[in-house]
Amino acid sequence: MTYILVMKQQDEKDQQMIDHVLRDGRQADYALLVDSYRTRLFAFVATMVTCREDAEELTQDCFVKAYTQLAQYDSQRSSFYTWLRSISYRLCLDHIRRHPGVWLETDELTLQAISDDEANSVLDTDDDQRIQLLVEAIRRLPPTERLLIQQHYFEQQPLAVIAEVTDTDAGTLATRLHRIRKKLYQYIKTREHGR
Amino acid sequence: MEDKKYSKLKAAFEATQPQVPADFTEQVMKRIEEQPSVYQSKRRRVWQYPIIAAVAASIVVLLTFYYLYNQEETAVEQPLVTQQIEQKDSSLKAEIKEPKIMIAQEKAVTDKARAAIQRRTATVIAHKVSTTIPATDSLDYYIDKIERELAQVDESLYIERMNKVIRADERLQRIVNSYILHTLDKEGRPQTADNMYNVKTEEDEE
Repeated sequence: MTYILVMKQQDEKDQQMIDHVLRDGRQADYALLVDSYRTRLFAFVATMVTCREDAEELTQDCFVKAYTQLAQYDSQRSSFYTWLRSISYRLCLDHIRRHPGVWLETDELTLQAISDDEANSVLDTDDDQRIQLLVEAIRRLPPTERLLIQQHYFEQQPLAVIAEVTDTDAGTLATRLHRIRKKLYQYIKTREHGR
Repeated sequence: MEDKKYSKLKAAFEATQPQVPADFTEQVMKRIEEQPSVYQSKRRRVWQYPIIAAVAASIVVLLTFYYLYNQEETAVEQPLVTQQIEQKDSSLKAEIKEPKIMIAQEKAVTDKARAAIQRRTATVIAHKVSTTIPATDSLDYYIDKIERELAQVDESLYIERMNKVIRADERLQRIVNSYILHTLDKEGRPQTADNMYNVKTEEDEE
């Protein structure tokens, strides 16, 4: 409940600053909004786009685009940060299409052989070695899967919000998460047995 | 969501991520300033639309008045010219019915009249070719319009009109008669004392 109240206060504060920008053209208020969200949004973009310079440029592009389209923002539909993320998600996808990479993939048969319990507990570990392997595996995932892990487990975002950002539905995301956990498990097992 | 459950994993993952630069906000605002101005004060935006609407309405009103003014001018001159033509037409038709002798006229006066008609026709044709007679230059416009209307009148009516003019003026009759006689003498034809206009001169009376 406290979390919801805090978020609501943040939303109201954001809306006030947005009104100042739209009504009076006060760019200083937009600078405050950029300061508020730049760290989180940069982390969001850097999760999908591993190159630092590209991540920096795309994050800037997102804020600039949001400024030019500020009149289209509807606070009734989503929070300002959610709206920022949806803009940056599309920008990142365009970037990835132009710069494809090689990502961790596992065949379906192997994934089906892994039990759900094993997959569900793969991230729940304090073992430093396993954590390093997990980080390594997460960084090898395709950008959209990597983002899903980062947003859901590290940013603690509900699947409904992530679905809104990525323009999918929560059920599809839950299925994908389950599959990602199996991939991570398979990667760890392969690396641990290989040592 | 459990905050602590994945905290070690989260910290390890974030340690591999780049950090946002310190001057990031300044860079963003600089890019925004370089863009064309997107937002104006709402007060300016609010006033823009009424001003645009007022200017558009003024233009529409001016165009409407201009159009109506031109329509009125055309409506006024149309019946006036028609009336004048009808009056001329009826008077000329009445004159045609009078008995007349045309022989000498065809030789002398009609030659002059024909020349005059040709000059008038040429003028009218020149005016007909021109399609840009401004309706606002009212006097020239009326004259051109009347000439165009008269150009459609039959040549014989012109001649009849000239006859009437000549008959109405005694001095002109004498001049025309002497011209006719002079012309006939030159060609060696017998003189005719009976001028077609039936005006008795002082010699006749004697």
